[in-house]
Amino acid sequence: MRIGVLTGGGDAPGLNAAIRAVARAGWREGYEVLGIRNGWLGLVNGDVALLSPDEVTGILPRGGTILGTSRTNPFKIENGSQRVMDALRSHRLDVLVAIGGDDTLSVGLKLFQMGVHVVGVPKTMDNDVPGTDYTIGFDSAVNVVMDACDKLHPTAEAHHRVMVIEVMGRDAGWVAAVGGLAGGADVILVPEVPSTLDDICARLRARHERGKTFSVLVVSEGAKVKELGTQVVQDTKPDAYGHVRLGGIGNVLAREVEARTGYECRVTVLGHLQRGGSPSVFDRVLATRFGVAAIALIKQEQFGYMVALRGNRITAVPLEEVLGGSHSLDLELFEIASLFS
Amino acid sequence: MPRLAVLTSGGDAPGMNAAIRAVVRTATFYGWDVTGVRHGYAGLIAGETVPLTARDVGGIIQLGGTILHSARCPEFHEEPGRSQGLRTLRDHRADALVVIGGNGSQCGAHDLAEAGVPVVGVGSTIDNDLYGAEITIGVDTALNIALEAVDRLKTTASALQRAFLVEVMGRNCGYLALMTAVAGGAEAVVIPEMDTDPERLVEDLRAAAERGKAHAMVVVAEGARYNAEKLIGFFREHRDRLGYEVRATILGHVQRGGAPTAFDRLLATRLGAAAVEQVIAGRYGVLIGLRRGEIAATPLEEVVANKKTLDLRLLDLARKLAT
Repeated sequence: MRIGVLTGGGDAPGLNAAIRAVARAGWREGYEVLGIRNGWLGLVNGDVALLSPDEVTGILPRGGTILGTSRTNPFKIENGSQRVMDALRSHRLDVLVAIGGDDTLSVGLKLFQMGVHVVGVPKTMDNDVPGTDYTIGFDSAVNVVMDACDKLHPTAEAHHRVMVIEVMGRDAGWVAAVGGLAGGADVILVPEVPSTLDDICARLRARHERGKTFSVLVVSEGAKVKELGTQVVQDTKPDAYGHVRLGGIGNVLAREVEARTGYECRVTVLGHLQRGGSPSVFDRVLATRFGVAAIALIKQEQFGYMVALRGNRITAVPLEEVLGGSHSLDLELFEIASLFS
Repeated sequence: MPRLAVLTSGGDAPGMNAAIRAVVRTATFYGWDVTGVRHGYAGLIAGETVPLTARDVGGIIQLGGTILHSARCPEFHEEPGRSQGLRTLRDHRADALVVIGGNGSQCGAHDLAEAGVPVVGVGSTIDNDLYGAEITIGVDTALNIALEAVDRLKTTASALQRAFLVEVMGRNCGYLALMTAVAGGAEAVVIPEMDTDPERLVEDLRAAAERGKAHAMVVVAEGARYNAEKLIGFFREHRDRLGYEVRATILGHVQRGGAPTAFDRLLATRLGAAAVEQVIAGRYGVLIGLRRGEIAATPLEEVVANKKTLDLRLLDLARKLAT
């Protein structure tokens, strides 16, 4: 049995831990494990090679992915899907383990529907893959957000400022809500709960009146603030999966808040810091459990499924269900955060 | 009982609290009373003070920020601000003042010295641009934070051919950027002290891509003529020639926050204590700072009259190592 493993989409800490778990669990079953380079692009280009134990040793704590990644969608490339099938044949790959977010997994689903044996492993720092409570990379990302909040509090206090932190998360508020809650943020803005400048300013003013002359405001890149119109974007040209690059709301918001309240605002756009660094405990363990579970699915010939975490149990969800659903922020978390502003 | 006043002014820097603590504890040890002035020179003008005892500074050595808060106060450079400040010191019977801060703050200290106030300065700023102090309180922490960010970003460059622009603080001084670049293994660094031709930078990065570098890191000082925002604009226009996809991260105020490193705690403690020793010995009108690795006192008029220069040899080193 020959297994091909790939990592697609954005970087997230924990990918290497997952690759390592797939490889080791696979070898225990007597499978051969091949690495496909740079996500789906590797299958388009036939960039596939056997993984050796040397390559996965010591990679558990490393961020990034030893296999490289890309946002390539083979179905948007001329002859792409044919080239993928050719590569599967020429490298005699029996099963594909696709580690990625919903874009990567959507390609996996399409191939599965064309008869390829595919197993999915959910990864994204945004935690917005349906069917699983958590995805690889999310916990590490919110640790970065929390750390930024911790670092910005003293300087906000010293200068009586409003520190605005723009975080990633695309259309889901998980990163902002969880990171903000852990970081003691005073205002958290998420896409699932549109807000208004009036409301935001009123809350900041209320804090001032209580003697709290500084605030930390965490805003999700996809948050919607009524007076600002639609979501703020950096690049309107969509990528191969139809996504535009969000970003910029932090600066816009800071300008408006400062103009309306007179409070000095400073902006920190966390950006790719959220994607980097060594994976946290939670991500290392999750990625490892997922990798092992993927091999278990293969052993049971359960193809077309994605491994998932529900509560503390590892389970499997059909890819069709995953890609038909959504995983937006559990609003209970958001309500809890509001209690603390 | 003689009384010492102390304030923190200008941009906050990790280690300021450690310095305050050292000032308070050392003064108390020598039988002096300490009055803290809140919000820097703005507090001096407004008469916002708070008594500081040895117990009030317990547990603050590891805290970022400053328990006395800080402010930028242009009013202090003129009247009536100046006289109001002097009156506050008189009203509170302060026999001497310790000013913890950077350039602007030490200018204020110099003005007070000229007006006859016994004052001693302690250099603190993450920009490291203060003459008379080869390294100031807060720099090491800021450098470590910037470095951690660079290391973190490097791990995300698994996506194909990525170049990262990382902008660090420093105002008009390229020290933080240069040190971060060398210690972070960056391919290029852009600082205010050197004229950067963005064309040349594009060429350098393209050549690096051709040499087989899968990703590139460029550290940019916020005060450079071509800062991250301007460079990103330029790179976008020349996207095809670059050889890399470019992403920019502006580190911002996280560089000011967080717990001071061991180096900053030690530096702040030694300088704070030394400042008080100066006061006790009656040697005023100076800035306490490290010079050639030793604690030294530099007359404030020299501090405000001179500009600190950056050792550009490290720039050569950075270039060679980007091979």
